[in-house]
Amino acid sequence: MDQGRRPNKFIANRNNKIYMDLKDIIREHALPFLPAKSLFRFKGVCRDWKLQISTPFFAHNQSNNFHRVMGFFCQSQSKPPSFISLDPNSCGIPDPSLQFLPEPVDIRTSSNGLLCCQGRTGEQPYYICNPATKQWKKLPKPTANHGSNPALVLIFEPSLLNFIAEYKLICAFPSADFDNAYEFEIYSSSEGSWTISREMFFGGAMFMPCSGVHVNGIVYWLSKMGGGGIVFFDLTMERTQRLYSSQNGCLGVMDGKLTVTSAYGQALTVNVLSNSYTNTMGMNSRVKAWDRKLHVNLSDRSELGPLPSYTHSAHDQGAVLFASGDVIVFRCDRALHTYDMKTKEFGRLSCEIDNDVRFFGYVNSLVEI
Amino acid sequence: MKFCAVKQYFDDENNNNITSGASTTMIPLPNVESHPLAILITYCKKHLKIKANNADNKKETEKEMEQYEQELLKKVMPQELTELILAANYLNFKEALDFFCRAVASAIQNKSIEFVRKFFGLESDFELGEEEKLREEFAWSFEGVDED
Repeated sequence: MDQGRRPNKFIANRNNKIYMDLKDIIREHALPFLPAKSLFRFKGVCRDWKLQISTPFFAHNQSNNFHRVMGFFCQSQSKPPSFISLDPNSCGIPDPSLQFLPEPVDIRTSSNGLLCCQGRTGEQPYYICNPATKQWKKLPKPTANHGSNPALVLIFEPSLLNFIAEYKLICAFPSADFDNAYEFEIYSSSEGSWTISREMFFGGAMFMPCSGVHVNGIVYWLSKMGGGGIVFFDLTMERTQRLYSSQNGCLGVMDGKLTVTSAYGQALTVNVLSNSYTNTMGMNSRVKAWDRKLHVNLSDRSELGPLPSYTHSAHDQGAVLFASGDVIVFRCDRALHTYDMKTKEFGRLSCEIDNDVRFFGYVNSLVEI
Repeated sequence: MKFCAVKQYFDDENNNNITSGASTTMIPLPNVESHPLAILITYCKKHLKIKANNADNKKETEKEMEQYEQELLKKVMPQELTELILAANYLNFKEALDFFCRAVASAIQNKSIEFVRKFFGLESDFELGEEEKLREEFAWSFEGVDED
């Protein structure tokens, strides 16, 4: 039983789980905490591990246990996508430009290891894919016309009970029937079809593509014009409304709450929506909805260079490209910098990006579609 | 009682005996060495203490537990991790098993196949050529691996 390893005085009964070999314990309990890149490599350790890592049940386990955003996809207008890893040694994908898809695509949104992309020609179909396993699925054609730059949010939350990945894709698009109004169409993977919501948003706002995030059944977008701010759609109540926010910036999710992160005036600021029910109170309610979560001074960090000044430019997200979990990514000029909220350390990503880049967080997960 | 394997010994006794018996009963643990057992007992006591201190505040418990775990990891050598995992598994101590497994996962995340085999005392049971095929198929996952 020991197979000639270092001697151990195990009193063992093969049938009893508590006397498992170390390699079996590691295989069952430690492997699900690893990112996809390490797991593909460790298929070569021994046959047992190769078999375990290849099973759908293991993929389900890993997607439940491994949630960290360790990499980012970025794409500029009409160029192929590229991939930046926070830790290139442990997080990686086989094909960063997504050439395993049947046609060149634009990445629209991402969620927990899944990407949603859109083809560029013909009917411009939507694809859902896992860039680590190269699995992909083409979605059926939506009922409505979503326009050329749709404001999409992919919602995929791995759950212990759902063995098959269930996800929703929601699109906010300008209404064809009413002026200055937005409608919502939702694709559900469990039903395999699109549904247009009866709820519409009248408010003269323009939903910003690539700005949307999902928190606890509510989807939030940044909006331009008509007062700016944030608009949300509650999937459970099927209700949409504007949300007041004193700060413009990048939307994100931290500790299960909506956050807005901005970098201007020599500081990095994160505000968190602590009270999401203020929107049901009276118009002049004095209840404070937002709390300051973080304020980091950047003026003494000479390596960062000058931050862009605060401006309501076309890029309303400003300098911050990503801010969720523990990671904030912001740009100074063409360089990308990171801030880790746990270790309070700054870092720099070794790449340069264009001004009009679209940026998406990615989790190195094995989730099966 | 967090050591579920040990708890089993007390289920058979009736209530009267438990309180008096708990502190004096000797329970044989032939598969656990004293060093990892000592660490597990300290971990368990700390866990229960932090939980009791922050009875209502789950977030505080998690934060404090994380801080303690970070400190603990600095003192434990990577080789000791495997013994701790074996002990936690035998004692059926779920929280400690999860924690040490996560720690060992971080430790091996960037390592090569050879390192992993040596670390856990494993041998390759692939046939000739099978391993080469895997290395070719997943060549992208072998980039940027730590030197042994």
